[in-house]
Amino acid sequence: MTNPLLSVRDLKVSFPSETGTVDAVRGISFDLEAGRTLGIVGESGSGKSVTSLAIMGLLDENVRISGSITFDGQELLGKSDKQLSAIRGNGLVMIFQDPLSSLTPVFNIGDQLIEALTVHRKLSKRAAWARAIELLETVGIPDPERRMKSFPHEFSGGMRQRVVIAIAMANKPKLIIADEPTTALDVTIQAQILDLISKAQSETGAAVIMITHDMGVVAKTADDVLVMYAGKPVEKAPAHELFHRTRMPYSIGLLGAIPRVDKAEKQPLVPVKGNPPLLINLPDACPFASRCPIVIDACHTREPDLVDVGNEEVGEHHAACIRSHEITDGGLIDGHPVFPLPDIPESALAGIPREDRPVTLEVRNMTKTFPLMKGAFLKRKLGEVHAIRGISFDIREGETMAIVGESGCGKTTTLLQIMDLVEQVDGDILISGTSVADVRGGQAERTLRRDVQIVFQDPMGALDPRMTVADIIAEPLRAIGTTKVESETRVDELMDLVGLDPSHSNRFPSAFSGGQRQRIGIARALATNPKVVVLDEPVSALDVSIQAGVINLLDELKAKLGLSYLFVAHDLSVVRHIADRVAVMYLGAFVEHGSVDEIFENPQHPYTQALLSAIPIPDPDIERTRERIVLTGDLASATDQVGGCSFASRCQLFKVLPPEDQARCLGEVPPLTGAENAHRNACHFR
Amino acid sequence: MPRNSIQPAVGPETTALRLPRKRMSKWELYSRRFRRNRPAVAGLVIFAVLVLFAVVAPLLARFDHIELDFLNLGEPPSGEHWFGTTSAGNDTFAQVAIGLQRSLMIAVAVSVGTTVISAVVGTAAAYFSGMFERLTLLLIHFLMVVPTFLLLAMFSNDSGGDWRIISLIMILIGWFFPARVIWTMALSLREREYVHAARYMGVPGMKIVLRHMLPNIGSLLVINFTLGVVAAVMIETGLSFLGFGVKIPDVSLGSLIGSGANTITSAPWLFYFPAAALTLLTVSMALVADGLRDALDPTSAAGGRA
Repeated sequence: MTNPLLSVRDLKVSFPSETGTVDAVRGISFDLEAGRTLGIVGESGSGKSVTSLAIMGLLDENVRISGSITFDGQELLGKSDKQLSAIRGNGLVMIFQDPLSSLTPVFNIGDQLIEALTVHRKLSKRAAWARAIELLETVGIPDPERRMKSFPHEFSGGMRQRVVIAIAMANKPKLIIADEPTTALDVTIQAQILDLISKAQSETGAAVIMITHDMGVVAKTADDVLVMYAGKPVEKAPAHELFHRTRMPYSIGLLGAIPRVDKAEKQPLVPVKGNPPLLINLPDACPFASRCPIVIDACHTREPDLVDVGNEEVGEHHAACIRSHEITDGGLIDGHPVFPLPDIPESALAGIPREDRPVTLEVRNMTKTFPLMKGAFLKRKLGEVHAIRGISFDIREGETMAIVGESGCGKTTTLLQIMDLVEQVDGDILISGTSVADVRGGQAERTLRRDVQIVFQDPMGALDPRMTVADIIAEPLRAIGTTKVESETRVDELMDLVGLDPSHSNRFPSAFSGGQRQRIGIARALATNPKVVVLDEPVSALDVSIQAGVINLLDELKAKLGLSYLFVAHDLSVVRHIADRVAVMYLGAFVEHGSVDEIFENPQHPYTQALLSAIPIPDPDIERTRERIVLTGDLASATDQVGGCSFASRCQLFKVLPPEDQARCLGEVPPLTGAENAHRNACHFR
Repeated sequence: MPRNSIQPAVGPETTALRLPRKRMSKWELYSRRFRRNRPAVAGLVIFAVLVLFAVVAPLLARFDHIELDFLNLGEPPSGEHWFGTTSAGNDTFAQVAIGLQRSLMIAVAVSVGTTVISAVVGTAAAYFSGMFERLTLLLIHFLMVVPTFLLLAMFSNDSGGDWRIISLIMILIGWFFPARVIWTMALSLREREYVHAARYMGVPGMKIVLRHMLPNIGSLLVINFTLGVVAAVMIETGLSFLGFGVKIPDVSLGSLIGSGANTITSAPWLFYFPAAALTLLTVSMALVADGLRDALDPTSAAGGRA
C-alpha cells in the first residue's frame, strides 16, 4: 500500500460563540490516495465544510483545531499562514460553491488566471498567457483568446465555475477540494461541471474531496464515501458498499429520503424526524438517538465509536452504531425496514377520471414581455425580453401540475403573472372559473384571492420576522374579515394539520427550523381553504431529510383536502414524486407537456431527454453505467425573437439531422403537437 | 359549487370543540423582553422621574417662575431657594421645572410628529412606487434645498415665541430628511417575500405598509425618535440662544442654559441645574431606545425567546 497523499487524524474544530463552545468537528480521520475521490456527505451544519476549511488552513484565528493533517508528507496544522500560502493554490486547491463570489469582479479572468500561474512559479508573461489560454481551452470555454479579456460578470454561472476550475488546475494540484461545486447550478450545467472535474482529475492525477449534500453527485463521482452527522463521521465505506449495504440508520434515512427520478411507483418518502442537535455541550450519547427509529437504552449511555463492520469480501466498512450488526441489506432490521413507511391517505378523487373533475385553474395563451430600456434620463426602448411566449394549461381539482426548467426559463414569471392576476392581452387566466379580466375593485379581488394562495421558496424570507406565528397564519383570514375568535381556533387547527404544535403559536419565526418554517408557510396558504396552491420551489432550500417530510405533507394535504397544486421546481426527482402532470419549459415556452409517467418514461423532446439524463441517480451502479446526453452551451438569451426552434442551438438531435431538416428547425417555430391532455411536445421530428 | 367537487373545509366541525386558549399578546411579550434589560429600565425610571418633576414641581414650589424675590438676588442654592436664584430674583428651581416641561413638550411633540410623518411617507412611497414615489421624492428633494433654519427663525419670531407654533414649524421642516432615509431602507423591504405574500392574500396596500413595512424598520424609527428628541432640544436651544425661540416670561431648558452660560463663573448653579436636567433627559432617552430596540427586534441578542 502506498503512502496516502492526505491523512487526517482525529481532527477536532471548535468555535467560541456567545452561547458556548460550538464543537463543529468532533474527531474525523481518513486517508486519501492520489487519484481517488472521497465524497463527504451530510446535512447543513454537519461539519463537512469546516473540515475542508481546516485542511486548507482557512479558518479564523480564534478557532481551536487539534489532531493532525498530513499532506504530501508535511504536517499542515501549526504552519503559519505564509507557509501555507506556498501550498495553497499550488498543491492544494479549493473550488467553492458560488462561482460569482470566488472570482474578483474588478479583474478580467485572464489576469486572475495569470496571477494564479505566476504566484507560485517564475513564468514569463508570454508563457503565462499561452498557458492560460490552454487552460481555458481545457475547461471548454469557447473562443479563449477573446474571453481572456472578459470580466466575471460577462460569464454565465456554469462558465464562471469552469474558469474557477481552470484556476484550480493552473498549478497541477495534487488535491482538489470541491465544496458543493454544483449546488448553485442547473442540472444540465451540473452534469457538465462534474464531467469537467473528473477530467481535471484524470489530467492532473489529483485526489478529489467532493463535499456535497446530494447523494446523486456522490454516487456519480466518489470512490469512497464518508457520511457526517453532528461533526462526526457516522459511516465510511466504498461507494458501492455504502449505497447497497448501508449499516447506520442515519445513512439509511438519508438515502430513503431522496425522491428517485427513476422510480415510477409512487411510495411515500421516508422523512427523518426532528432536527440535528446543537453542537454545544453534547452529552456522551449517540447524537442521532433522538431521531433514530431503532433507538435502544444503550444508545443514550455512550457515543458509539466508528468500528469496522466489513468483512473479507467487501473490505473496510466503518459505521458508528451499536446495532449496525443487526441491520441487514436494504435497510432492514429483524426483517422490517429501519424507517417505517408513513401512510399517505388515498385521495377520494383518485377514482374520478380527470375529465370529470372541475377545472380550478386555467391559463390560455399567457405572454409576458419586459421592455429593455437604456438611458438614465430619457429612456429609450431597445428591445424586448420575451419571458413567456404563449403558454396554455389547465389544472383540475386534486391534481398537481409541475412546471420544470432551468433558471431563466420563465417559470417563476408564470407564477407571478397568475398571482398578480395580470390581465392577458391575447389570452386569459381563469381561477375556478372566474376570469381575472372580470375582477375589478378590492372586494372582488379579495374574494378571488381566497381561492389561490402561494408558498414561497425561502422559508425565512416569506414570514414577517416581527409577527408571531399565530398572527402570520391568521393574516389571510383577517384580510377576508374573519373574526378574531374564529381565526384563533382556525390557527390551532391549521398548525395541527401541518404537524406543528399549536402551543408554539406565540413564538416568532426565528425560533423554528427551516422545515418548520416551511410548514408555517403552508399553513398560512391553507388558511382560506384555497382551491389552488401555487408552490414556488417549496423544498429546494431544505435539507434532504427535512425535504422528505415537507413533500409527504404536501402529498397528504392534497389527498385530504382535494387541493390543486401548481408546482414550480428545477429538481426533476421531486417533480416525479409529487406531480400528476408535467410541463417542461424552455425559454418561455412549453416544449413538452403531459402526464408525469408519460414524460418521465417516454420523453420525446430532445431537451426533456437531456434534462432527465443529467440528473444524478443515488445508486452508483446505475449512475456509472447509464448513457448520458450532455448538453453543450448555456440557455440562450430570451431577448431575440427566434424564427425557429429556440432549442436548436443546444439540441443534440439537431446535430445529426440532414441539412434540409435543420433548415426547418431554424425557420419554423415548432408547435405543441400530440395527443391532447396526454402527451404533447414541440419538436418537428418527434 | 361545480359538479363533483368534494373540496371539504378543514374541519369546521372540529372548530367548535376547541376552547380559545389565552395567547400572550405581542405587548406582553415586548414588555417582558424590555424588562430584562436593566439599563433600559433605569432609563425609563429616570425619564419618568423627569416627567414627574416637570409636572409636579411647579405645583409644590414655593415660588412661581415669573415671581421675583427682591430679597434674594443671585443667591446660591439655599433652604429657601433650592436651586438658587437669578440676578433678577427668579427662583431657578421653578424655572428649571417649567423649562423642562416646555422643552419636553416641544421635543416629544416634534419627535413624534417627524417620526410618524417620515415613516408613513417614506414606506408608502417605497411600497406604492410608480408615480406616487416619484412625486414624493420630488417634494422631498425640493424641501432639502430650502434654507429651513431661516424659515424657522422667521416664523417663530413672528409667533412671538409660542411653543406650539415653534413645534409645528419644526415638524414641517424636520420630516423630510428621515423620510428620505426611511424610503431607501424600505426599498429592500418591498421586495421581501412576506410583503408579496401579504399582497397575494389580498391585504390592502396601506395595511401592508403599516403592518409589515413599518414594524420591520422599527428599530430605525426608535433611534430616529430618540435622536429626534435630542435634536429638537438642540434646535430649540439654538433658537432660544439667538433670541428667536421661547421668550421671557416663558422659559425652556435652552433659554436657561443660554443665559446660565454667561454667568458660569459667578453663578454656576444657573448653568448646572438646567444642564443636568438636559443631560438626564437625553441619556435616559438613549437607554430607553436601546432597550426598545432589543425588545422589538427578534434578531437581537435576546433572540426570539419570550
